[in-house]
Amino acid sequence: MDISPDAWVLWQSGPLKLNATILFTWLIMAILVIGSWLVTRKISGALTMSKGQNMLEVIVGGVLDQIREVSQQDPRPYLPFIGSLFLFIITSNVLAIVPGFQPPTGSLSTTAALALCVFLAVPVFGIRMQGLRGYFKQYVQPTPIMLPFNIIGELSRTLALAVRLFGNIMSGTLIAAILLAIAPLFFPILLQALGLLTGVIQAYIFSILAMVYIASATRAHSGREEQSSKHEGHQAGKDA
Amino acid sequence: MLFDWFTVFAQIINFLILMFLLRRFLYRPIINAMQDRERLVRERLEAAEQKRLEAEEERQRYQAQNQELREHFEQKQGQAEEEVQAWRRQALQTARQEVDAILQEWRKSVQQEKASFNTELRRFAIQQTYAVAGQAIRDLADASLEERIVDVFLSQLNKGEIDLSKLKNSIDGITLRSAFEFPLKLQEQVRKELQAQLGKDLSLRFETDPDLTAGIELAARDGHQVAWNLRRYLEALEDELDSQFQQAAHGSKTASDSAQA
Repeated sequence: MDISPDAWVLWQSGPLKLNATILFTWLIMAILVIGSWLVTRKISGALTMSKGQNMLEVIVGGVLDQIREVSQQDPRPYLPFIGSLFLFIITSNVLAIVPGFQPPTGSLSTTAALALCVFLAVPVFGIRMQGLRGYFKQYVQPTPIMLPFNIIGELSRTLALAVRLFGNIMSGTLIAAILLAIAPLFFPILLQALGLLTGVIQAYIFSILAMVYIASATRAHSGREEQSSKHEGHQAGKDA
Repeated sequence: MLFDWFTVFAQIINFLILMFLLRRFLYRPIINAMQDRERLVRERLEAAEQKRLEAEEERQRYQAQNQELREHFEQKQGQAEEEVQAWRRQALQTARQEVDAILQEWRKSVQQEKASFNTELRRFAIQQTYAVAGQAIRDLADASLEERIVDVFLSQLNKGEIDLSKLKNSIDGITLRSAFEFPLKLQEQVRKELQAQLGKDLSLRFETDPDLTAGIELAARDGHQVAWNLRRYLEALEDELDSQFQQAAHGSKTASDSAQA
């Protein structure tokens, strides 16, 4: 049994290879993009709308509300990044119940890639909002002594982000597989249901944490630590 | 192997592509649609608000108009009532005047009828009195009364109580009329007496006239006459009665006028 879908290589040519992670990622991308296109190609700004458009508006509106709540800023600049993270992860996690589907988020490579994206997005948004000087000044706050700790915190939280998602999803599929061997009736279904719940929560946590990190970089320094630590504690409770 | 750098790199690229595609096919159209809808709703709300304001304005305008109309109506009504009152007063006054005039007319006619009746009555009473008195005297009259009348006539001539001055101009044709046949000796006596008073040229003629009732009348040719007879008394009585009736009628009229006032 493979722990990671990375190991399931379908095609390889030198350094290039097509493994299950990439393949299923493409599948998810196709579902999301084609689904969106099907709905939005006949979108209307009228007072009546299609069911699909209604659903997408609810999702986008919910994401916008969450971003606004966390960042206390105009949510639209962050929507593509945060929204895509959320939709990709939740689709991947929910599709995990489909037999034969290997969720890309169960691969540490994928979660690391997403965490790296967050790691890079934080300075990108921070510099865009506060300027180069304003952004880097945060690392020597409240005193320059805190600089190494701030850098370590930056790195460690990125690592935590990647490992948390990977661990939850991987363990979900793994436990299901183990239970299937021990008690093939009833329990796997319960575990699958639990896995769905965990998957949705993890998608929410990943997106919200990404937003919190970005928001802390784009806002004035005060309150950064508290908010960050508060959300860390929040997700830690969920993990437990 | 849990970690594969190529996969990490590929997944970063994949995620960036996904982000771009979703932005192109999901976020932008959905946000635009939501903004369009918001704008539409806002516009409709604004239009509705605008219409509400217009309606309110219209309502106030109509209310003001209504008020104006009501005031106008009340004013007109008041005016009409005043006019009706004035007309009524006028009509009442006119009617009263007309009634007064008719009443006056009626009273006048009643008064006239009363007066004419009174006049008739008076005339009748006088005539009756005259007739009764004349009848009584005629019944009583005989030769001895005649003699007595001639005596009285003569004594009045003697005393000058009879004014003969009217006869002085035509003493040559004087006629003496009496109700009865004048006795001859008395004819002589009367002639002498008249001659003594009017002159010697006097020519006297004697005539009988039963209409005289009782008495004597001297008439000259030029129409002047002097009379002494009962008719004179009766005429005086008639005059007296007449004046008495007049006074009575006048008194009753004054009394009725004062009662009316």
